[in-house]
Amino acid sequence: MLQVGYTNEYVNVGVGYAFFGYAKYQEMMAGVALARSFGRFSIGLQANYLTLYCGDELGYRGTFIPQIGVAVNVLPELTIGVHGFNPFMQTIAIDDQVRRRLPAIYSLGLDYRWKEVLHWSVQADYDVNNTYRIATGVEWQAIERLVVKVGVYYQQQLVGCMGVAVTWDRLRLDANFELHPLLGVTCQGRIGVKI
Amino acid sequence: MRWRVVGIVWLVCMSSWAQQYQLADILEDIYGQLAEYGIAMDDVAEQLMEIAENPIDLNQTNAEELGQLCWLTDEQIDDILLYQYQHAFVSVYDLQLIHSLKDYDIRNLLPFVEVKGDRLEVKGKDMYFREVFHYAKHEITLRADARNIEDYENDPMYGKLRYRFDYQKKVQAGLTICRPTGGAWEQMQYGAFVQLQDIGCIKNLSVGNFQANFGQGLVIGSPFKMGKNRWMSSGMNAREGVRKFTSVSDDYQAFHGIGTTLRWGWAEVSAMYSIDQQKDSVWHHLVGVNATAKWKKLKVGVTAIENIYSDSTDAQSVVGVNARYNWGKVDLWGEIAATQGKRWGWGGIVGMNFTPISDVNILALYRYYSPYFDNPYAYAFSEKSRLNDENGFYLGVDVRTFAKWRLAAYVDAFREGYDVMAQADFIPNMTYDMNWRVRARRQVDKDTYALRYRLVYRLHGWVFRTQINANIVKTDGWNYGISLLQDVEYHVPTLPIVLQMRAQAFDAREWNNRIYAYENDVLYAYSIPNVYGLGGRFWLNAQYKNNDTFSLYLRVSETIYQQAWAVEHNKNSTRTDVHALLRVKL
Repeated sequence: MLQVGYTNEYVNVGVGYAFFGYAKYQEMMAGVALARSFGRFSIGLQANYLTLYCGDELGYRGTFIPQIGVAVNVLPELTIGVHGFNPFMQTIAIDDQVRRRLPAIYSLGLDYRWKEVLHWSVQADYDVNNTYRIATGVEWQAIERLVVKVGVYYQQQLVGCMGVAVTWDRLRLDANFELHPLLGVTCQGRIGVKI
Repeated sequence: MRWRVVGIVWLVCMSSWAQQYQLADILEDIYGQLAEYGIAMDDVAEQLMEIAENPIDLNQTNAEELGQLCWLTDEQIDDILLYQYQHAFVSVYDLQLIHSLKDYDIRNLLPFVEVKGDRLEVKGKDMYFREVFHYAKHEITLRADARNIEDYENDPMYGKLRYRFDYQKKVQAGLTICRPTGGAWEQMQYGAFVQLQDIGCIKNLSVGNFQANFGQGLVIGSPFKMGKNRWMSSGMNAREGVRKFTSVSDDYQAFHGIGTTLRWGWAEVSAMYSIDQQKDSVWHHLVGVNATAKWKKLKVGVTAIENIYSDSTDAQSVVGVNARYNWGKVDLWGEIAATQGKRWGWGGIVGMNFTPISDVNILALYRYYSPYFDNPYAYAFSEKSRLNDENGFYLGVDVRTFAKWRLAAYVDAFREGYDVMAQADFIPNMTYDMNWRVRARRQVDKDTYALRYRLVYRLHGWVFRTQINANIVKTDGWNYGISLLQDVEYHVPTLPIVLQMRAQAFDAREWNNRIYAYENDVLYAYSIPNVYGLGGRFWLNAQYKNNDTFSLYLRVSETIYQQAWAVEHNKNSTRTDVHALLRVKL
């Protein structure tokens, strides 16, 4: 996954590209995002184009998927947000007769800031084609360059999560780990550069 | 000035009430959550009673000693020690000046602390052994019970004789003789110990019944350290090393032999030998050693034990390495151990306890015990009572930011399911307080959802406790359990008499719906019986404490089952217990 963002006083712009798959099956999604803050609330829109490659016989299939999010600063310390991915429940045609459902996820969350060094977040997601997920976590700015994260989420199983983020000047490194009771440990990493 | 006067008056009032009922409330809060783990509660309760009768001197204490009060967080202990270092305590009222101690924390602390002497005095005067017997305290307790329980119809009597010798907590000895209910005179139980503590380089020397605790307990651990509860720091600061074990009824959790922990500055070395006879005249020998080094904020220890059986059964070795590092607001700790019996097994636990901001405490830990990790002396964090074949992540949060409220929650995710608990305490003043607790637990064969509400109200020598417990359990189908109890406690003015009584109604007809509720009992007897069935339970306690020399305790309790339920489950419709205890202190 690769993302690039540009911020200015008028609007924040971002582009992103994600790829998953192997030789006989691939998913690619590219998107352009616009976001702006209006004082106590912010709004973001992202237009994505999803492409599936389903082998030589079926070839490439694609569709547009919108994404929208709104965040409101209810209190100086408390922010509530809602988000929709594929809110109109788009499907994608695999062939002339088969249409595949794409995830349509609605999210509701809040973020509470304690003294600027501690964030507590709660988020509930509902995937129309799947099940719900509830997550909560804490992010602590331990020192200027180090952030510690712990949390849990429930989606049919209860999964624990931990992570750290390290900042060096313009560089930020994130490492996150999940412990699924059946599937074991999953790792995610992220590198961010501020240009 | 006005607020300081109000604060002092409040603390004076609190002190006079504190020891009378606070200990019971604290024990109920701790044990109510640990009842299912079969922990030697009377040993732990006795330890706390000892502290209450010999309070900790705030100007002479250290982290290990304060760690015995398991409800204190690391931050609170650090703040107390920092205040001690910077200012020294003039009186217990100075606890109000420590920001991390809330009103309810101070109230829970008062029975166990005092201020005597100046911080600059040398800790403990020189000890002369000729003074030991002259100035020692002696305590004799005689207890007799009669139990009308169907299992003991032919022999309902229980008896216990207990003697304690104590010289400044440095030289202690004890003897306990117990006749269990339904046991023949040949089946009398005996327990004895002699303990030297904090004398020169001897941190502890115990002969007789003793227990040991090193690291996180994967090699040898204290039974009290395991389990999940609201007191998230429990066990993190627990005193390591060897110490006496006083319970007779939970004798299987003790070692029998000799153990010692020696201390030289930054190093501690422990050694122990235990012997006991198992069935078929097989003798079991256990030899253990530990070496721990402390350097600034880092502590590292190595522990090893060897189990040897006289019938040449395969011996078992267990070895472990533990470490702990304190970095400001973060406490990192962990232990890894391996057992070698017929096959090698290993287990590990790693955790982090941190206080990102004052009043918020977070504990996260991960444990893994392989299927072949099997050490009967390990007591560490676990979903089960035995550390074996387990893999899980635990996250706990304790929030004390909001005035008058304390919020706590934990989530434990393990392979077979999960365990989630949330508790809210509302403590507006010294007159009343209440808490709510909800718990959801999924295990392999059942789902359990439980709720508890508790209200405590105090007024002019009267204390009223109301508690509602409810649960629903899904096994093959859904079944419920519910209990409503009302406690009344009265401290008779001008007389050294305390009366306590309870009336409880319960409806929990399936065993899975049983409900645990802490009960006051005679001295040194703390019980958390479960109620199961359909009926009611009543008990009356009377305490007479003439002076420090002579005390008398009497308790009568009765459980009455609905006749049809009792017949169906082959139980007596009534079960009556009478406990009496006489204590003499010299």
